[in-house]
Amino acid sequence: MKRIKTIILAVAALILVSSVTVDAQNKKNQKNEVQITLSIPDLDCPNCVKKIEAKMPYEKGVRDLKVSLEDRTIWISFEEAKTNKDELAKALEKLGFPAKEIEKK
Amino acid sequence: MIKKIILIIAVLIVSAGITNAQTTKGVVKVRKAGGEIEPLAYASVYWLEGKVSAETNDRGEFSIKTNGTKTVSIVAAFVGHSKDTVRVASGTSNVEMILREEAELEAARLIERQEGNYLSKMTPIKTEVITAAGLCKMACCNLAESFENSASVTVGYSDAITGARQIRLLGLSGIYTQMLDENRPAMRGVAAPFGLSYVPGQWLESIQIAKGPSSVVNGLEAITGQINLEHRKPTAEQPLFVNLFLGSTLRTEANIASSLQLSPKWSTVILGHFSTDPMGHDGNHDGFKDEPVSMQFNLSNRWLYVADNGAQVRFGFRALSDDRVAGMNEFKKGMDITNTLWGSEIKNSGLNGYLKVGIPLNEDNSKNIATVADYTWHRMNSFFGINRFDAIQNSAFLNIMYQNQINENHKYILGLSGQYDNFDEVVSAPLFGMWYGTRNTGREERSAGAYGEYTYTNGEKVSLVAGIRLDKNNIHGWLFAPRLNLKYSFTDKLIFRASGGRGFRSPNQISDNLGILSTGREIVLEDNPDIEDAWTYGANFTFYLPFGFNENTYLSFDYFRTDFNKQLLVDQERDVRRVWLYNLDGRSFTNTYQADFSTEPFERFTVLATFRYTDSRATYEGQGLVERPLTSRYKGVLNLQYATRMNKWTFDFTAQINGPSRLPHFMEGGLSPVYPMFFAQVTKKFRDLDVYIGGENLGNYRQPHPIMGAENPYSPEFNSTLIWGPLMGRKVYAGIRFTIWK
Repeated sequence: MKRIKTIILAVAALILVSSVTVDAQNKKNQKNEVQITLSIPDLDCPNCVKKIEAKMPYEKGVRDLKVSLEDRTIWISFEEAKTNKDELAKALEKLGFPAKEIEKK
Repeated sequence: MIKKIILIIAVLIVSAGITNAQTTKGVVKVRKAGGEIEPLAYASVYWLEGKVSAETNDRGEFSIKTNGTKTVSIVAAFVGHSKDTVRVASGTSNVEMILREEAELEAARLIERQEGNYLSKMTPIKTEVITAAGLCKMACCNLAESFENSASVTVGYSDAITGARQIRLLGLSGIYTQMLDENRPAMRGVAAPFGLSYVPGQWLESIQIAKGPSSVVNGLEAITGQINLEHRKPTAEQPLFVNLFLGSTLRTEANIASSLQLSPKWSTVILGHFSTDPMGHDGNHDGFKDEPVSMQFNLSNRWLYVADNGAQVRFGFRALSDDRVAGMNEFKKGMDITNTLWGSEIKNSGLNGYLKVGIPLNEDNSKNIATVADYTWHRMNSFFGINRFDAIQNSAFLNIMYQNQINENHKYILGLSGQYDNFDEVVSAPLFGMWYGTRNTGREERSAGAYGEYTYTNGEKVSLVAGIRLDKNNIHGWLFAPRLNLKYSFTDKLIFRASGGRGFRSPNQISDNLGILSTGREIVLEDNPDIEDAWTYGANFTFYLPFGFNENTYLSFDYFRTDFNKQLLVDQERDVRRVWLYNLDGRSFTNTYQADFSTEPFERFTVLATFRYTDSRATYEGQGLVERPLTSRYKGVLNLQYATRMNKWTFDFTAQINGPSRLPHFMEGGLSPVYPMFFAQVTKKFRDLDVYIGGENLGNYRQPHPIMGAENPYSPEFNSTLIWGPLMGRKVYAGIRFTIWK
């Protein structure tokens, strides 16, 4: 029983520490980040979401993103020094999802 | 008969091509800040299920070709405005959608991370869904390993020899759960004992677990519930997916999937699997392999054809070959068994083919007809020491259903279905009255029936599904099964569900209990096994709680009870030298209570905690009503997952606590110990590539001495079926998943 407690405590502590560390890191990075919301009219299937989620994180400068099938939008947080909204829209178009409107937040 | 079936199907396919196309039309308007409403030009309008979008003209009007499904979701959107979604019959010409001016889109509304396990809010039947993300939480070699995060489903080894796994749902053996492959009955009869191992986890897109008797549409066999498997789809834009896996016991696995869209109408997915367990590992040093040395090949090809009018044709096949070598460590493939060398070989081969056709009967597709035809051939050749079991199964299933959506509140389905099973089985073993005998345990069973199911829906507030089935079975006569499922939302945060109904299944004396051949006991078969007949009813409350990062924090309570009128019992306690199979004479029931809690306390950190308690009893000869042996009384699961931004790193941890089981008196009685299990996995995503490393049973807990009488396998004491805990100790593994997108 003691061993079980040790394992649970160790894992819980590990997850907590890693999440706090990563969050702190994120917050630090977020200072230099810009967020935009793009409307993607052709975003109409769960697989489209998967494809964007698989590809866009590896575009230069992209730090975070959230895709909404319901709203047909993508929210992107990026480093302004490394990319811009036109580059991101271009990357989306290359994946087959032209971003029709761009709204800066 | 076969000619007639082919003719009907051909007519259905041909008629699929001659139904008219539909266009959904309407107008999008905007409500201005002052309240006035006027048409909105150049707004985007999408048909959600199809891949079609349009733009409104300067009068706000739009039209979209919405071929296909009977109802369509139309979404209107315009930047800086609220979005409006309506669900209408395809072909409707007066859709009106009103958007409001909105200052800004809320970033918080955009979040849509895919959760691993969730409860479906919409369905009238409480349905637990394990998504592709959930399937990736653990290596999930095959279906048997996909339920570790679920307390509803418990997976255990059937015996200590064959490596066969079985699930338990609502505290009862998996044979009472109907397994469906995209809503076609699967894993039946001879194909059942190893069926879970024949579904590679990486082939699946999701698994839906519905507790209770469910729908009448797929037959009578759902007693404790239905588990439906959705495979990777032909329409997925992934021309290549490769998964490679290596475990510490040198288990090696390769999965490949290729979804190809050949034209707008035709698409296909090819699924391949190879796995091998080359080592005969004996971690508990009892002289027997803990898991068999095995090799499996599995290949499937599925096709989809979508006609202009929305008619769909799906067909495909699957071929399978699996070889297992088990028993004493010294025993190798092809060796002869001797009176000091106990070994086992199990060879399974299977073929399955299916055809599904769905045809709209009117313009708005509110009426349609669908047919499902399925054929399975499965062969098992096996021996366990001196015992032999050879079986060939031929099964056919045909289901024809007519569906009519009268309006948005009322829908009904009427159908006819038939099942044909031919089991050609021979068992050679110490049978009752013979030191060693041979008996044909096969049968030919035909069943045909009619069913009707009515659904009442009132938005998200109420839904009710009432179904009845009447079947005529050539062995068991008339079988009548009513079923009812109800969902009522007191508020959108408090949902109540109730279900009740009857199910039947024909027992397979040997293949349902294959482990009894790996004992030294004489087998006493039932001469006239009854069809198993049970009622299951239950209720569930789900509360959605107002805390956590998103709106999906919930607390859910379940109660289910299964009452058997007739059941085939397997009794090892009546007589220590025999295994008795006999029809229930008395009561047999199971009560299951379950609580689930799920939350995301902060972004990308999810917590899932569930606890199940089971009280399962049956009336055994000479013992009266007693707790069913080797059935765990409770199970608790805690799953923690943390993902970094964009899921570039994912950390998963699962802890289980497994409750005690009643041990038969010849195992010295009492209860088995409570034991924990721990699983962990770390996944790192790269562009097109996931790399994962993980471990199972990290606490290295094993059932001590899982084979009774291992030192003397030809004595009556030899018994490999007395399993209550894990057979394998700690395992670590690593793997990659590589995806090419179209």
